Amino acid sequence: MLILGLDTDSSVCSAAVYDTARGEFAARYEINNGLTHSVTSAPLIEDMLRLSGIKLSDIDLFAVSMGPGSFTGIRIGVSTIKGLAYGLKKPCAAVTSCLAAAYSVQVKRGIICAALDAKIGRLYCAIFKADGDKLIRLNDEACLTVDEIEDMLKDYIDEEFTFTGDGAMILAERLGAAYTLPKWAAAQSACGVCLAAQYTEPVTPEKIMPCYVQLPQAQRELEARKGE
Amino acid sequence: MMTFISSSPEETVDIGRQIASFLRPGKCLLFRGEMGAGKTQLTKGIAGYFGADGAQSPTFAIVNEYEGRTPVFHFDLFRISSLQELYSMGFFDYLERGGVIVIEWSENIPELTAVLEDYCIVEIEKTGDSERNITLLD
Repeated sequence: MLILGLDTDSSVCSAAVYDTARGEFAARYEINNGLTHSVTSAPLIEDMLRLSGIKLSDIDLFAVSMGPGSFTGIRIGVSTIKGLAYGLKKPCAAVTSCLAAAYSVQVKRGIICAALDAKIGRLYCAIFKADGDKLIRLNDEACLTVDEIEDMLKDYIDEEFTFTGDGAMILAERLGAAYTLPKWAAAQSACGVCLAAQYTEPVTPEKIMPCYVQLPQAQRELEARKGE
Repeated sequence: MMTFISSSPEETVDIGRQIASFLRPGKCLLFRGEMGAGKTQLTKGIAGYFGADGAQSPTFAIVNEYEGRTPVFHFDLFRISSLQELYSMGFFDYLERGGVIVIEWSENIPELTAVLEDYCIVEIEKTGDSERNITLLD
């Protein structure tokens, strides 16, 4: 099976094709040039497929990162994948940006903490437990401060941790991890989207929706300040 | 802190040009000033410095984009009342587009100063019919 994955949740726009039979990526493309993904994502997919000799009609599953992340980016990614799958009458899989980041590290044991920079002094974060090749979700994505994440991780203090996502450095520094992936490698990417999609129930294109994650804490702080 | 004194809308535009010469991409200017203070005139000068004409009030559009050598993104937050709404109109995506960001009515989102990394408050004070004091606060 060939899975085409797309990730436009951050300033990076990436696409990949994963061949499940070979257990390898047939193609991986990534650009980080500050342009809006509405301009780059479709040509990027087109170029990648052309150069790797894969036809769009060869793709069996269209996968996308549905967020949380850049508001505009999520909408571009989700609508691009919806459109491709709808036109080709193929199934879709939508995975969260945190799940994609967690699958991208391919760790077989312990706790994986996926943290993505939400740009407002907060991180989008979710934690997973590795169970062989598969990941078990321990909580839903939330928009948290580093302190809140540190608190949340205390419940798993005896486990081995892996940090992933473009916010991993911030966490690893605070929590004293010996090693974390470099930022360029830790950025959530289309590869993680493909890997996560293997374990996600395929759906028809109209079923996939963006996952924004609200900012409840920030909102409460504002309400409190207004009330003072 | 730096104060400019303007005695006409034309001078306000010119002060906008002078302010723009200090700006680097990613900088957010938070304008404070009542209706008619000259916020749009100041933005005309800023966008003009970077080679884009035609700045006008984004009250209805919420954001106007001026494509010059450095793009200028001109926001009016008059109708925005929460960080969540700000996120939902793509505001935080603009921070990464390598432009200068001008924000009118930023007072509507008090926590904006806590979440922005690189900002400067610009106060425009009416001191007469057409006289204005324009102050850059750090």
